[in-house]
Amino acid sequence: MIELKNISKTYAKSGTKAVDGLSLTIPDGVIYGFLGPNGAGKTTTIRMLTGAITADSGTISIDGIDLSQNPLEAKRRFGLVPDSPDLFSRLKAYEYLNFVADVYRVSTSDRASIIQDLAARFEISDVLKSPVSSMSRGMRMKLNLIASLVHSPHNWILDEPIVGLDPHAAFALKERMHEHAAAGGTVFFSTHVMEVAERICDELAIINRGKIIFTGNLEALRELRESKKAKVGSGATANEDESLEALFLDLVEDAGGQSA
Amino acid sequence: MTQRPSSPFAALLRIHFKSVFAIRLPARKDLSSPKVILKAFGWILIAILLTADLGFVFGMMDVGMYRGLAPLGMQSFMLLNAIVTSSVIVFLFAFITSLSFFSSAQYEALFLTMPLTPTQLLAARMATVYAIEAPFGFLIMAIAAGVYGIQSHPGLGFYIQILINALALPLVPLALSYAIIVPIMTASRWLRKKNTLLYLGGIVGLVLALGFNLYLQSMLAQIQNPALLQKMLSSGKLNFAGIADWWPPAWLTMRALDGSIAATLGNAVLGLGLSAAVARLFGKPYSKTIINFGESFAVKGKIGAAQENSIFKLKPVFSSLVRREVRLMNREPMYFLNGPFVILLLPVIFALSLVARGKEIVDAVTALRPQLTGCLEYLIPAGLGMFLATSTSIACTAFSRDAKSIYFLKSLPIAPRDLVASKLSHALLFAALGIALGTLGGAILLGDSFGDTLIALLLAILGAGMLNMGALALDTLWPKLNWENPISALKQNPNSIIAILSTMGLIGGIIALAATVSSSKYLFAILYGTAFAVACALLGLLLFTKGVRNVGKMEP
Repeated sequence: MIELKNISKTYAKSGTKAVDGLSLTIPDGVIYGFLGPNGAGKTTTIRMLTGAITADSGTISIDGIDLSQNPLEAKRRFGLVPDSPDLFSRLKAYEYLNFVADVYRVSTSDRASIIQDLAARFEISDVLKSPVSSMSRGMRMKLNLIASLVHSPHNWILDEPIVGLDPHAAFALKERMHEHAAAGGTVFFSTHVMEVAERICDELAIINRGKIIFTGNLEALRELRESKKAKVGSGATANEDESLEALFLDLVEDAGGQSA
Repeated sequence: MTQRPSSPFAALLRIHFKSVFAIRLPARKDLSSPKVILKAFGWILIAILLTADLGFVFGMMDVGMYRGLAPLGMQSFMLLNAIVTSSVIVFLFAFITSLSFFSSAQYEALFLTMPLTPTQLLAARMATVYAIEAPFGFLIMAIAAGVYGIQSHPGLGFYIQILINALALPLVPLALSYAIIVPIMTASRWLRKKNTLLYLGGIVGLVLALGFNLYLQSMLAQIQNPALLQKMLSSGKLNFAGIADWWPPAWLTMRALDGSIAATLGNAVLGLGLSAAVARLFGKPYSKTIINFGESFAVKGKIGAAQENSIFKLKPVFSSLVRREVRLMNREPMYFLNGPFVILLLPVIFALSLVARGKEIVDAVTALRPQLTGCLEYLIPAGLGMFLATSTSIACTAFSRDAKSIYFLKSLPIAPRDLVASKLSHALLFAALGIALGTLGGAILLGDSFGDTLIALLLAILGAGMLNMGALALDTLWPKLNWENPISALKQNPNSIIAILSTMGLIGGIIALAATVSSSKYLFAILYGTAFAVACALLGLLLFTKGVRNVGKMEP
């Protein structure tokens, strides 16, 4: 379980308040989507959540472990797929995976089978000996997916994971996310692709201008929109089949922000 | 009134210039900040030092040559030497710069989708290289003109002619370098791989630089002996005099300096015409090299069960971190050639100088040896070791180089102190090689006793430890985390300039101090050894307290 309580972040250089008093609880066993337009604060939130940057205020805990008090133990509880796949391009793919596995203390006996299984699943077994720099963007993303799962983390955090993946790999990823949640793990991912969020999220949060403007499931999002429309007396009701994209755009517009 | 848009070529040229000369002058409101003023002052100081350094080398050469040739009334050959030297330097630099620009061809490939002709693409690139390299050639010509002007008092016309010709001279070498590179690049797919190109560029650059070093060394040897200089000139054995016979820009410039306006015009027309012809003729093949540049190929093949046991093995986190540091630095050509490779390069340059001026150097060492006694017997080898041990820029750019992956690294369960320790170990690993080559080499050259060699080694280890810790502390507290390419992270990083200048100043200072103060032989070993050890302890403390805390706060 991941808990963020009242976290805020202002970038010193630009003075921009990227995240403002954000609170979220991501329970075990769910796929939790994190949506928002460009510059809304998604990546900043994920960076604070993973200890890459420090929150100005508030607390973050992973499986009950306070990130600021016990950062190493908290970091061992999650696997991260970063937004940029261009990491350590001068290493060979297996060297990169070995480095991550060493850092997470994955035993020699488990390591080979985990890596080979995941590489087969994401179809990059053939290029594990290649330099990361020789791989396409999609392949690098797959490599990062494998690296994030090499220590079988309880919590899986993914920043825009679908970008660059071919349909087959995207399907494999979605399947893996379902399996992870079904096994009691937490999946927290950010995305711009509303259809993806719509199809696989159990719950979602929408962030705009650093603030959470919605948390709940798709049903709750539809109800919210309906009630808002009723308040302004439009008389229109939200369609059962109305897409998440339309609901998302409405909500962001109501909050006075730009749409993605 | 509507503003007329600039032409596509002018827009392209502007974007190239902005990308290369990314110099931002401080805004008026920032001028009250001491940090901004100090930074600007530092850059101005570095620019003055570099110009003065070049000015001194070429100025001394010009003065020596003028004095050697004046009795024969052949002092204008000094100008011919400057013309040839400037052309050679521009050709070398232009060749290397053109090669290095190919490594960023992926960014240039975007321009292929725009309404620009291949000729415009190449012409804009050539103009950019001209803007980078011409100032070096111009500086050499200006120094020669200054020396000649002070000694011979020519009229204003001489200065006007030399100014125009100095601007025209770099054009032919530039055109030639592209006329050579473009066909080579189009000939082989293998050459268009970024790594191949960077290593090749580095090696070609090294060979050319060593060749030029050989030329300079032999020239310096010749001008120190005016009689020999005159004899060689009259017998036609002087290398630059021969070059002028088949290098039309040199011949034309010499005629121009005699007052021929037609020769000046000829030089300008030759330079501009040849550049335009190269841009026209090679524009198309150049654009093709851009299209196909940067293809890299994956190594196909699964990791079989037999290999699994040796490949997927759990190793200590610290060893994994150090291996990552070494691999990432040594496999990035830009980092390797300007980093660890320097440890090998400097001894090679020295060996080449020995080949070129072997007798002079041996004689000089033999003549100086009686003065290199006392503490200098161990301080000079120690200083050489310390210099080589810090010349790799590993420590002073350690966190800057990691800027692109710093967020990811910080999300991993790695203690910041382990990260700092792994970076220090990486620097010290190569420092050990530098100490072995520099200190032992210096001790052998001076014919040191075993005891003095041992003291030199101990001092070099402590000194290199101190300098590397200082450099790492610098980059841990003030890393350069925003950059576009690896050159910015290493070569254009103020930390590497500060580190190398401090190292040179410190080594020069401690040797100069010891040479001027009379004392018992081993007093300075104790003094410096203690000072270095105390500095190591203090810098270690700074690094593993404030430095480690700063890693936690690091944000690009």
